[in-house]
Order: sequence, then structure tokens, then C-alpha cells
Amino acid sequence: MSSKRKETLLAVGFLSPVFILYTIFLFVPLVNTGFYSLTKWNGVTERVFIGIRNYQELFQNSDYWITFRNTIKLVVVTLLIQIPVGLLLAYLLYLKTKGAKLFRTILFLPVVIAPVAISLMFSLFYNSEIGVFNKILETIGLGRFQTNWLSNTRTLLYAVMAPQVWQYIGLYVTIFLGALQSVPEELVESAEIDGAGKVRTFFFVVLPQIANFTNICVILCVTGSLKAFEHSWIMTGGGPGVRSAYLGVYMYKTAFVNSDFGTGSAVTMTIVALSLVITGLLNGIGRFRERE
Amino acid sequence: MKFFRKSWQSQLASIGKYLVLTLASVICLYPFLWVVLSSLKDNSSIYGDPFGFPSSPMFENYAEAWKGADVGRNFLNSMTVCLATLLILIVITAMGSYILTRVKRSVLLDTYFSLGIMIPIHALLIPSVLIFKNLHLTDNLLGLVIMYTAVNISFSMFIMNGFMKGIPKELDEAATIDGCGKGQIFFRIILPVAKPGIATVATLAFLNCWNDLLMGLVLISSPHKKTLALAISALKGSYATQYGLLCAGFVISIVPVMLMYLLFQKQVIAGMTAGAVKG
Amino acid sequence: MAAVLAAGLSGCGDAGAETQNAAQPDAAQTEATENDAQQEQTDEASKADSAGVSGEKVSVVLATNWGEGDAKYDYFYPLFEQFQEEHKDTLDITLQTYSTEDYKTKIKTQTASGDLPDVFTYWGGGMMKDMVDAGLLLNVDDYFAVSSKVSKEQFEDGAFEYYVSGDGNAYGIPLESTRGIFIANKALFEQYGLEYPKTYEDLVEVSEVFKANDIIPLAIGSNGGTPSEFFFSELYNQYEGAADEIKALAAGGSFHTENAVKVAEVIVDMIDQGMLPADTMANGGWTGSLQLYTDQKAAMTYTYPWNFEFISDEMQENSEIIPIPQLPGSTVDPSTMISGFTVYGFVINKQSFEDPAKQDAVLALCDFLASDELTQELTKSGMIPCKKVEVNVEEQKPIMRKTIEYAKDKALVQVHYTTMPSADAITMMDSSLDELFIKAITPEEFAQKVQAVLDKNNGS
Repeated sequence: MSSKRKETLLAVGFLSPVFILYTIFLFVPLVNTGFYSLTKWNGVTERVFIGIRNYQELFQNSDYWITFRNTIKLVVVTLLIQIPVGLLLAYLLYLKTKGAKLFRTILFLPVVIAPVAISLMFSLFYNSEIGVFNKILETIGLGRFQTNWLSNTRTLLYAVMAPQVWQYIGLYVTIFLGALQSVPEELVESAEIDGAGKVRTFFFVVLPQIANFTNICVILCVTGSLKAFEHSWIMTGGGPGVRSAYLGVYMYKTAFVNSDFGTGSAVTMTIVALSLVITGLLNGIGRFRERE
Repeated sequence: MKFFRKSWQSQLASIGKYLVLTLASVICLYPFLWVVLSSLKDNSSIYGDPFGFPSSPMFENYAEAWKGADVGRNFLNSMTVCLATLLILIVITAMGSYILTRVKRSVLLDTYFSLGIMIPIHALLIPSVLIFKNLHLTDNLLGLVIMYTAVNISFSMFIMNGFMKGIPKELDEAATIDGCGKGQIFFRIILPVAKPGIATVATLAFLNCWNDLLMGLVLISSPHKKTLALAISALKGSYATQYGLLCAGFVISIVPVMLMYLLFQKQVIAGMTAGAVKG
Repeated sequence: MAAVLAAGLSGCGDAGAETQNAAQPDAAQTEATENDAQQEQTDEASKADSAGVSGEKVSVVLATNWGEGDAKYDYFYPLFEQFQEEHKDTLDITLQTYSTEDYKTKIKTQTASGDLPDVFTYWGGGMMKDMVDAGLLLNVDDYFAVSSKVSKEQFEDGAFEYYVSGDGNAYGIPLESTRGIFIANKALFEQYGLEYPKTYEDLVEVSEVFKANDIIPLAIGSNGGTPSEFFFSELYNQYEGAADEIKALAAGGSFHTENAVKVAEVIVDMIDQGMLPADTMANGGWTGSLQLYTDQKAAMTYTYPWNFEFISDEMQENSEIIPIPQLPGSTVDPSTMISGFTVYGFVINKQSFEDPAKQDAVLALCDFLASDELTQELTKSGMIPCKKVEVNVEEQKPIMRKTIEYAKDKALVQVHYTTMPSADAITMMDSSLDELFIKAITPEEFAQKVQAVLDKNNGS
């Protein structure tokens, strides 16, 4: 009994600092945002409570749905590219690789570069007058794919996605590498002694061991995409129109540029709701798989 | 025969491996190189010849960026805030994560803590500033530390949980038999074993804080309390930006981050070779 | 700890703290001393921000986006330092600088939390509307009534219009005016034996020649509405009744006019004729558009004085300012007008100004910002002043001298940017122009989209 009480005391003692800080400085602002989303507020004058009208107007707004679709596309693209590539690179580094430290540092490098610089570089890269992307395509015999990347409604969104998707792969390399390093070496060694090749070992021994982390990376990837902002904002301002804007950009534009903090907060709440739904689904799939 | 085939295959695989890694490295190194080259140019050569070498390197960009962003002072602000944040963040999230993964599991609390990674940072600005103002923590570096800690809790808990879950249960059990209390187990056994997790969290959290612009922007007003990222951002012009100057600023701010990364990388290796995991 | 708390209290920056300090001079004194000591010892100290009284000095905060990387900073800062030095016994002035995008975000959060600076540079029109409505900004007549150094008459006619709100009062003091110029590369025109185009047909003709020689006729893109939105207004002003229509926008006028559709159609025609860069997004923005011209990859462009810094001296000499070609069906001769309007100035925090303890300080700061000396100095950065000051033409860049010369006998016309009644209408105009330039929407759709925002705001 006393040990049980001690354990509870410890649990409370250990959890409370993080719980309190998080609640006051993150959860309360979130609740406030939820409250603002039910008001008409320009950030200056008194808030006027208007119920769910902001949401109703939002869901009737075609711009909202365009950014919504763009965001979902971004989620899919990042999931399909960042996770597998991040995992592959991390695994290659994990295998007894000479210069792993150096490679790892280099692969991480893009993550630390300011998105402003990356976005500027890509804008210049794409530019059909002065950029080299079209020239590269021509050189490697793909000349027929040349286009005005940022001014073509079909390529625009993906052209804006590319730098972001690419820039943050290093983040996943880092997490996966940390995960791989925490896999007990004996497991891997004994599998290899048993004659399993590197590829088999990876899929049947290593991957299940780091399933936890794959899950974490998937969720970071999804939530990161759902609130994506910088690259789109810097390269195109989310435009033309809202053709390259994500929900995060739309929220910023609504709240901070147009001073409609009520609607902006409503957009935020839909981002959080969407995140919850998607991560809930992913966790559900994860648990279902575990049971199998 | 079998021996020969295997070595031939593994040699090929090894070549493939280095090929992929080298290619990836080139793709990742290039933008950094581009930023460095651009930092030695003016706008007309950045736009006129974006991917060439500067004809006459403008080293004065660095002098100007250094002075303009008052690097000497603001670097110290950034470093103080980031390190203080890391310290608090790691201690509290490791403790919290230990409880949630190894003592009392709670799906409700897991979900609660994961809310933080779903909120776009812009959405937090105004409600946070109002709260900090009520607590008299605006224009205060301590306030910034608290804010940074709070916004990094979600993802730190998340990653830390992954590592904590991976630590074999037997470790705790053996320790319990040896007469250790849960608290002792945490400090003596779990914390050392969780080093790779801590290093990962530290690296990423440091990066988040170091590169943050928005929270620093809204919480800090006095020029002498500016963070480096904030000061470098002020190098942008109101109509047109001198990108060479801005890139010089970026290079100045990237270097310490890379040093930090190398440092933590060593920690990871050290943590591994200490045999903690194997033990 | 006590000191931190005390300092924290005086940091509220509202009238309450002020009264408290006044009522307990000793306490205020101690607090301030502690404050100073702390300040020297550590950066962590919470400084008494806006209304704090530090010794006999009055603290005032000046905020601006003329940051270290801005063209104005080099001219502004030395004079500011001098001003600070001259008043160091009475004023404790904090200068806060940010880049433009950061600055807008900062001011918005400060507005929401009630921590606005005492004096700050800001945009007028739709940008300041919410602050005016909330009564946060000072009617500048109140300032002029007190100031012995600056008076309203010292400013150019119409300079205040950008800062005039719906109630007819001005809420900001204009500093920077501008002129839109259409420039042509003299050497390129000579090389191909071409005349400067006077009509749209001429423009089509010279464009054919340039295109045949791999030169972009007109370096005008559209990214975030720059520089396209100003170019749009410039073209707009050629049509019958346009000037009045632009003016009427501020008072609930309509954007979706026959003229708006006409101009948008002309722009689409320019795109179809291949006059503009193929990638208008990547070549949009001030820097992007101008660069094609300065690299001699384009023969003509439309630009503004704040970009003059980025045109080389050689290119400035080689550039000729010409009237925009006359568009089909237009009635106003483009060679008789130039777009010229106030773009920037500063506003005064009403609460600070009406605070008796602070008024003198705020007054001194405003007098400095509106002084002839600072205005003259800032002109060197390519700023066209709103105040009537003697500008030494000899000190100006060649292209600026040409602009001044060209603008002499021209009538000034307004642009949509300054008369749009709200920020979201401007945002919509910008992002829809980007769409129009990549031909994702039709001229009619473009006009409708902007009008829809105006209608929505008028409706609610």
C-alpha cells in the first residue's frame, strides 16, 4: 500500500512540471483560440460572440477548400517521400559505414538553413529566364518537360512543395538513426549469423524494432504538413490566388494580413481537428497491425 | 564458391551504398554552398548569375551583417535562451515520459500532450502574448525560455516516449529486485540508457529554438534582448532585400548550430559505446 | 527577486502604473534606480517599457521597419543617434527595428495586447483602419496644434489623403511619397533602331523586334501583386473617369468597373503577345522584375524610386523615362500624368500623447521624425518627401534627377493601393492579379473577386 502511494506520489511529482507548463502556455492558448474562433474579432476592437458563423462561412468558401486539398496533397507527398528516404538514408548510415559522422552532418545541413534562403534559391532555380532547372532538363534529354514552374497552374503547387519536402528529410534521418542505434546490436548480429541478408534483416528484424519511431515520424510528418507555412509564403505568398497555399498559410493570411482573427482561429481549429483525425486513424492502424 | 559470391554481392552493395550517400550528400551540401557563395555577392550577381561564383567576393557583407545584427550581443542572448530551454525541457520531458511509458500508461495524457504538435505557431502568437503579458513575462528572456519549453514539449515527449518504450522492461525489474525505488531507477538506470533519445531531442529542440523567429518577435521588444534569428531577420529591407547580406547573416547563425550538432553527435556515440544499451 | 517583481510591475506600461509612480515619487525613484542597476548588471532585467519613468527621464518607444538592412537605415540612424544624444538628459528613447513582414506581425500582436509603441511608422488607408476605428491613433491635428516646429502647411497638397479616415480626419503624418516611372533601355532601343512606343500599336511593334532578338520587351511580373498592382493602376488612369473611380473606392465605390475589366484585358493581351516574362511569378516582386531590366535581358520596365538603389549608375544613365504607351480606347494622355501618392509615414499612439507625463517626449520625437533635416537626409535613399523641403538635386542619383525632371509638369494620379478601404481587399487584388498574370482567371473573374471582398465588407 505504501509503495503504491509512493509510486503515485512519484508519478504526480514527475509529471506535474511538464503538465503544468504545457497546460498554461500551450493548452490554454489553444482553448483561447477555440474561443476566438466563435467571435468576430479584428485583433483591435472588442470581440463579438457570433457562435459558429465563422465555421459556416469558412466551409462555404472555395478558397478554404482549395488550401485544404493542397494540404492533403502535401501530407501525402511528404509521407511518400520523407519517411522512406529518411529511413533509407538512416539505415545506410547505420550499417558500418566509413565517414558516417560526416555524411550524417551533411545530410542534416539543409534542416538548419533558413527557409528564406532555400526558397529564394529554388525560385531562382525554377526561373525560366535565368534559372537552370529547365536547362538541366534539356541537357538530360527531358527538354519537353520544360515549363514555367511557378507560373503553370499544374506544376505550381508541386514546385512549391519540393524545397520543403527535400529540406526536412535530414530531420527524419536523425530520428531514425537515433532509433536504429537504440536497437540492441545482438539482435542484428544474430540475424546476420543466421544467414539473413542485409535486406531481410532490415525488414524482419530492424523495422519491427523501430516501429515506434516510424509511427512518431509519420505523425511528425503529418502534423508538420498540416501546419506548413514558410516555403509557400516566401516563394509565392500562397498564390497566385491561393493555388499554392496550405491551411497554415491561409490561416496566417486571414488572421495577420487581413486582420480577421475570428476566422483565422477557426482555420486553426480545423487544422487541429484534422491532425487529430489523421493521427487517430494512423494510431488505429498501428494498433490493428500490432494485434495481428 | 558461396564465400566468393557473398563478398562480390556485398561489395556491390557497399558501392551502391556509398553512391547513394554521396549523391544525397551532394544534394544536401549544395544549398549550403549556394548560401555561402551568395553571401559573397550583391543582388545583381545573385539574380544575374545565381549559380556561379562571385566575380569579386564581397567579404564586407559579413562585416555588415555582423555589425547590423549585433552578433556579439545577440548571439549570447540566443545561446543563453536555447541552453536554458534545453536543460529545462529535457529534464521535465524525460521525467514525464518515464512516468507515461514505464510507470503509468495513459492514452488520454498521450493524446493531450500530442495536441501541441498540431497547432500552427502563428495561431499561438496572440493568445500567448496575452498570457505572458498578464504574468509580466513579456520582453523578458525568461519568458522566452518558458515559451520555447512549452512549444517543444509535445514533440520532445513524443520522441522521448519512443526511446523509453524501447528500453527493456527487465532493466527495471532487475533494479526493483536490487531494491531501487522508481525514482532511483529513473536517475540511475533509465536516464543513462535513454541518452540517444535525449541527444535526438536536444538536437532538434535546439534547432527549433535557435531558428525561431516568431515567438522571439512577439515576446521580446527591447533591442538588447533580441535573439540572433530576430536580429538577422531585421537585415531584410522594406522594399527590396540585399540577399547577399542576409545570406551572410544566415551563415553566421548556422555555424554554431552545426557545432552544436557535432557535439551532440559525439554524445550519441559516447552513449552507445558506454555499453548502456547492451548492459 | 523583489527587484524583479517591482520592475515587472512598472512594466505594465499603462496609465495605472503611471499614476502610481506619480503618487509615490520615492517609490518610483527607488524602483527606477534598482531598475538601472539591474540593467547594467544583467540583460535579464525587466525594463520599464513604455510608460515607465526612469529618474527624471521619460521613456518613449519608437518602432519602425527601417531596419539595419533597409535603404533608409543608413540615413536615418545617424540622425536618430544625434537626436538621442541631444535629449539624453530628458528622454530615454528605445528604437525597435524589424523587417517589414515581422513588423506587421509585431504591431498586430501589440495592438491586440495593448502594448503599441508611442510613435511608430505605419501604413495608412486600409492598413491603419482598424486602429483608427478603435481610437488608438492620434488625430494629427492635435499634434500640429501643440507642435511649434511642424505644421500641416509644410506638407505637399494631398499628402495627408492616405492617412485620412472615414471621419475626414488624418491619423498619420506622411513622410514618403513616390512616383511610378516607366523606363526604357536607351542603348537597346538605339541598337535596334527603334523609337520609344507612343501607342499600344507601337508597343506591339517594338515588342516583335525585341522578341525576335531574345529580349523580353517588358520586365513586369506579378508575385504578391508587385509590381503588377501599381502597373494596373497606372494603366487604369488612362481611361475616362478612372481617377474619380479610384478616389471613390475609399468611400465605398466599386472596383468592378468597365475600366477595370478593360485594363485587365489589355494585360492579358500583353501576355498573349509575349511582351511580359514567361514566368511572371518567378520574375515578380520588385527585385525580380527589375533584375531582368538591369541585366539588359528586358528593354523596358515599370518601377518605383525605392528600387533605384539597385540600378547601377551606368544603367541609370542609360535609362530614359518615357510615358506609358496610350492604350486603345483610352482618353487621358499618359504623357500628362504620373502616379504619385503617399506610401508611408508615422502614426502617434493616442494614449501616449494624451498622457501629460509623456506628451513632451512624444512631441519631441514627432518633431524629429517630421523635421526638415531628417526628410532631406532620407531623400538620399531614394525617398520622395511628402514635406516641402529643399532637395539638393545634385546629391541625387541620376535616375532620381530624371524622375524629378520628368514629374515636374505632370498631374499626379492615385493608385488603388492607397484608396482600397480595407486590407483584405488589397490582399485579394494582389493575389488575383497574380492569377490573372498566369492566365488562371479571366479579366471578368479578376474584377469580380476583388469586388466580392468589398461587397462582403460593406454587407456586414
